[in-house]
Amino acid sequence: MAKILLVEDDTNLREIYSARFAAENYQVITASDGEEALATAVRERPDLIVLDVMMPKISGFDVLDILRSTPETKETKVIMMTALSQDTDRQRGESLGVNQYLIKSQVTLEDVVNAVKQQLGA
Amino acid sequence: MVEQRQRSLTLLARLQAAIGGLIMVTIFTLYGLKPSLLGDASSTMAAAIMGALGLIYFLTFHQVIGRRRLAFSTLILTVITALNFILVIAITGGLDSPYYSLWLLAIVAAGIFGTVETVVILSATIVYYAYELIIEGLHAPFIMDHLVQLAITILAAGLAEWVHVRSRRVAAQTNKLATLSGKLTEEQLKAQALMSSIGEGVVVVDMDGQIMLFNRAAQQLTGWDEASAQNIAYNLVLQLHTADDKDITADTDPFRQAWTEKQAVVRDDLVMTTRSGRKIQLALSVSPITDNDDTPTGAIGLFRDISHEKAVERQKDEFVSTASHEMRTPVAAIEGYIALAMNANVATVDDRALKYLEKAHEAIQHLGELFRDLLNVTKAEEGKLSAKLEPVNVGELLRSAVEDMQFVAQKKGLTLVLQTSDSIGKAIAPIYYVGANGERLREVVMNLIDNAIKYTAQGGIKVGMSGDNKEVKVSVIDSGVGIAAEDIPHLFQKFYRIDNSATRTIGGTGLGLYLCRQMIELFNGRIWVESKPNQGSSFNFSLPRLSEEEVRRLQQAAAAPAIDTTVATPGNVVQPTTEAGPALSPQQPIAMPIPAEQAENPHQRYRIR
Repeated sequence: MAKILLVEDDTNLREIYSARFAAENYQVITASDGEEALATAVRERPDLIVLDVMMPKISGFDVLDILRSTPETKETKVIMMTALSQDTDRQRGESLGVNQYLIKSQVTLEDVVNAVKQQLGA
Repeated sequence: MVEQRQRSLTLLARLQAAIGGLIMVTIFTLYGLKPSLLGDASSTMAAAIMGALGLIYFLTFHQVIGRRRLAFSTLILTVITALNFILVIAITGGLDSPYYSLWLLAIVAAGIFGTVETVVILSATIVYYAYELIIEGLHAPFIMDHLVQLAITILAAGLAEWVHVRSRRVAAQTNKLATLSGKLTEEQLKAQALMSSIGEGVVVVDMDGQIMLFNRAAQQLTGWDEASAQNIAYNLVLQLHTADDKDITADTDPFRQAWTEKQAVVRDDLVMTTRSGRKIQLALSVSPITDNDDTPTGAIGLFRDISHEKAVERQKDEFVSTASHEMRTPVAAIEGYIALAMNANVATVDDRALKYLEKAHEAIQHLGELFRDLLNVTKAEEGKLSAKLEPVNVGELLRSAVEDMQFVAQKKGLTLVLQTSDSIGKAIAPIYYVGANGERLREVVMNLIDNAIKYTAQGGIKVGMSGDNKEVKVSVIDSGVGIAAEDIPHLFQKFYRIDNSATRTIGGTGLGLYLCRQMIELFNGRIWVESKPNQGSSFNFSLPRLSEEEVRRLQQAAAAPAIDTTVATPGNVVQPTTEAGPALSPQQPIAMPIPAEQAENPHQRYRIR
């Protein structure tokens, strides 16, 4: 059973995504900010991280940067979810080594689930 | 000049009165001393009486009539004097009289009145010569004696007339000039009053770029007074920058642009540094001034401070942007929870609850669309969105869009077909490339097809493409309810929604077609609609076709860093996104098929997004 770390500061969205991923039989662990995300990622070693960009303390971009330079999480798959639709933001994410970049306003819950399935090769 | 004529007339009248008086006094004196000196007594007396008459006329009637009609009165006096002269000359020996010189004076004086008078008096003289000639008998010595006299007389008349005609012409011209200069001054004053009362800054420059005119508002806006600004290069006085504080270059200088393009240039995105160093946002329009040959001779610039308007606009945009952003979070939560509730793997609800949830889901999705469109419009109007122009294969794009929408059309029992043809009408699929943003253009097509499906109860939708070397035209033709003629001009306006029972029941943002237009115009195309109520509508757009060379160039450019076509105009739309189909497509993966009673009621599906 693949393990997903969901990093999302909005409580509601965290619950929604958790429930939806759980329905697909994934093991879901959550974090509500960047610091917690980094600690959890190193401790739990998830197969995939679904990462919100706009978060208090450490932004998603910084989290990704640190993940990629940390040996334990270097290979972990990361899907970024953001409200930022500027092309430069996408480029920034891609240059930091994101596996998939999703813009919140343009995708539905099901699209996120599909993206997760695709990344985990299910 | 008029006064000079008045003066000469007055002088002439006085002179004649004096001559008349002199003749009268002389005759009476001579008569008193030695009556034998005078020949024919009756003629002499007549001459004396005529002299007296002239003097009396001058002292009485002339004083009254002459005040109003000086020339006329003087003419009468001259006639009296002339008669007097004739009498005096006749008394003293006709043409041989020494007083004949007086007659020459009269001829010269006649010139003051005009050509007619000169001709009359000269004719009278010639007639008199003829008369004398007949009386004296036609013999050679007389003719010889008087021929020179006559010649001098005619010459004098001619000379006098020439002098007077000339002086009258000069007078007339001077008069005209005086009137013109008066008018000119008046016009100048009017123009000045107009210029200074205009609330906008007005600057007129010549071809060297030197300021010729600088009105009061311009002085207030720039902080330069007229005297300092006069004859100085305009770009020293109007220190313009772009909105991002870059200097205006020769290419972007609105004055130069007006000259090279020979048409008015309108900008509302400029910043001007005033003389005191303050920066104000400027709306500027520059029109070239041309002569009859259409060669520019200068330019006129009108400008005003729009800092306040810009600030208000920014606040409004920020508010809309923040509000839509903030509201999107709870909307996403609601949408997500409803989706969870409807998902059989997560929750269990009964069929009736599921039906309600579907409706709630549809409504909340529409709300999400509204916020997204609002944000797009705000961004578009801020000129924030940029578009990477890339070669887009229109046929390919239409094929995939039609394929994606097929399901929605079939669900409503409509046919959706793609028809492509070239200019000859052959049903082939020619390859047309246009410069656009593929995802944005796809969005436009999907939006048009989506609308067509919603507006059509039965029949089908045809998506057509045609083109020539210059442009590619795409049409989405439906067999739906059509659009009333009065709605057509407003269809592509922001927030415009056709007001009828159909649009009131189904929500729409009134932004969909507005955004379509913004995008098509960003790609240098145009969009229009043809429709007849109850016969269907045809939404069309055309885009400039790219040549193979341009396609190659753009492909190379796309491989290199993005070409930013952001021009800070309100016409800019488009954000670089990977618009995933689902957000636009009504075909939501999680949504159940639309309940039959909804799908069958075309009015409920009728909306302009």
